[in-house]
Amino acid sequence: MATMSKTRAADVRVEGLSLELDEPGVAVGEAQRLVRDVSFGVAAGEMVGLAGESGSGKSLTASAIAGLMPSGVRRAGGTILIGAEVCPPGHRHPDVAMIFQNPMTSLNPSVRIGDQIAEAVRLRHKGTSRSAARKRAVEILEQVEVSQAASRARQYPFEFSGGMRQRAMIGIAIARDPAVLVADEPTTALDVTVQRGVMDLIDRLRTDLGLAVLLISHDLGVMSERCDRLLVMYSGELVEVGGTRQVLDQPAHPYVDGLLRCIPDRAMAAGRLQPLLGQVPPPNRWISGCRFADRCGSATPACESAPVPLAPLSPSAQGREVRCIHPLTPATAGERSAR
Amino acid sequence: MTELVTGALAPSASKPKASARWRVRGVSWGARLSLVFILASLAVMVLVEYLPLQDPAQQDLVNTLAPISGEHWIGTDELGRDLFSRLLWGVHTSLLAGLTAVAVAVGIGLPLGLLAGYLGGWVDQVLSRLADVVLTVPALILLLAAQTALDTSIQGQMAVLGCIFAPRVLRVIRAEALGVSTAAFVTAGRMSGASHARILLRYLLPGVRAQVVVQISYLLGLAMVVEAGISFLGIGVKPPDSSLGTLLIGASALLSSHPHVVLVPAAVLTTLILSLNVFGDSLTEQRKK
Repeated sequence: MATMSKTRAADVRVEGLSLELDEPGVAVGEAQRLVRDVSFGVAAGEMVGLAGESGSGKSLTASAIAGLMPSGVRRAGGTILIGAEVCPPGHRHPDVAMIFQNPMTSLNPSVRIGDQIAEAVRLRHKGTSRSAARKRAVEILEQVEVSQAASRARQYPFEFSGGMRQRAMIGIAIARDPAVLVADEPTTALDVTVQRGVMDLIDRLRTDLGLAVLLISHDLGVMSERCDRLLVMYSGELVEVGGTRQVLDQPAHPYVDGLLRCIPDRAMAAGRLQPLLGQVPPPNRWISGCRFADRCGSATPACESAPVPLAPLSPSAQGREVRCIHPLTPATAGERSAR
Repeated sequence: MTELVTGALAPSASKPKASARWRVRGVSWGARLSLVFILASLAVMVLVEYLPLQDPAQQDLVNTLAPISGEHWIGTDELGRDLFSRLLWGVHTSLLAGLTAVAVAVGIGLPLGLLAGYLGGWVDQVLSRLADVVLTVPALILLLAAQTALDTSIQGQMAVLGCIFAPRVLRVIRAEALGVSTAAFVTAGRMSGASHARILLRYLLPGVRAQVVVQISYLLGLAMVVEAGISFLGIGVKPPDSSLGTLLIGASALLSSHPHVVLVPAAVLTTLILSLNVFGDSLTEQRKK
């Protein structure tokens, strides 16, 4: 095991984050915000999963934390805190590192792997000499479990396999000595066997370096194994928050419940697979009330008329929050299902 | 598990093969021959001063239009000057002129194209529209107009030609940079805290490198055609200096009586331009693979 870098433990807090389109000629109302009122925190040493389907705003939320908002999107409200420091929109906090979905394209194809890591080291620690940064790069490659790190450091990305590239990518991320790691679907593009290795690595770095890890994924299986807590997004809103086990065992939001009923292993135990009917509405058809109402079996007129707040599920359930006026309870969950 | 994965991959990684990067597959013989011819011409361009050649301007009025012989490898022209020597010096002048134009074109077009593609927005709009304006006027007319106004030497004319070519380079590089700058690794670089300047130099420039080489090979051929054209028209390279263009004017009247005087420089010019194009094409093909 290589030398361990010192990291300042810090947590992330996102409070009331809202993002909206910033295009001339596009009328945007409160209801059409791409991300609406998202609040959560990730403590140092904790891994929190942010789940949601494509277009649910999970990647956008991650980009906002990393300060890499795509052009045409602007922060409409809310604050992002790294440690005690408030990050203004577009600010790339030096303590935040991010790894991306596709390791095939996220490395500079014309620069040697070692030099790319060394570059990140020197950008973070100004004044580090080239040779010291190179040495550090080899250490980092060892730390991310790339064998023969010294000779590997002299190779180009095309000489690395997918899993190795993702390790190199993680190496670049930790070269910044981050406190917070935002992992945007880090294993989606990888083979299942390689996935496990990469997730093991992220998990180990989290404990070793005390990183606060935000894992963005749509793979509930990976999340159920790795995450302490789970955040589920739907159409730009957090719909359910809680400990991973509680959320998966006893979902309170009908969307999460419907989602879990689509997993064959779980559903077959109950007899049949129940598809979640309908489609995610596009942002221009979003309403100010519950955005899941038109697909929900237990929707009432009240659901669509006014915004539904993210509220604690019950006084006794620690950290469980749900955005629903008719949350499922263990008693009702059995008989209810998505329409 | 992890050990197993890394272990399984290790054998192929144990021998970093530097030579693999230089091994070229699927390159046609035409492209290889072209490269040889281009390199030979470049060698002539650089070394012509040191070659044991006859003086290209030395007239020998007794031996005008001499046939091919041991003394004059491809004969002499209408003033008895050694054609072989004039031909090599012509290659020297023409290539140097072409390179001047290309250097100016790339010197202007590459940085501006990178900026336009990377920054986008109004910078891109302004630069692209300016490029459009220059591109609407035919190159030769613009060049003749500039020559009328400036009355410069061949190097000056080629610098002007470079300015005329710059918008083509700008357009190609802009399009390329636009593609590269949306790649995930550029975002990753910004995430590592790289400045705009660093991203332009370390991320975008290597990304457009291949395209630059392709452009250089095309434009070099084009610049040499233009040089031959304007020299033929009587501006450009002036006698007694020889360029591939002036060799053609001098000999054009002799086509029926002494064809080799015309055909040899014409063949060299054609082969060189063809080589540059074939080479450029094969680079483009390689990039598509």
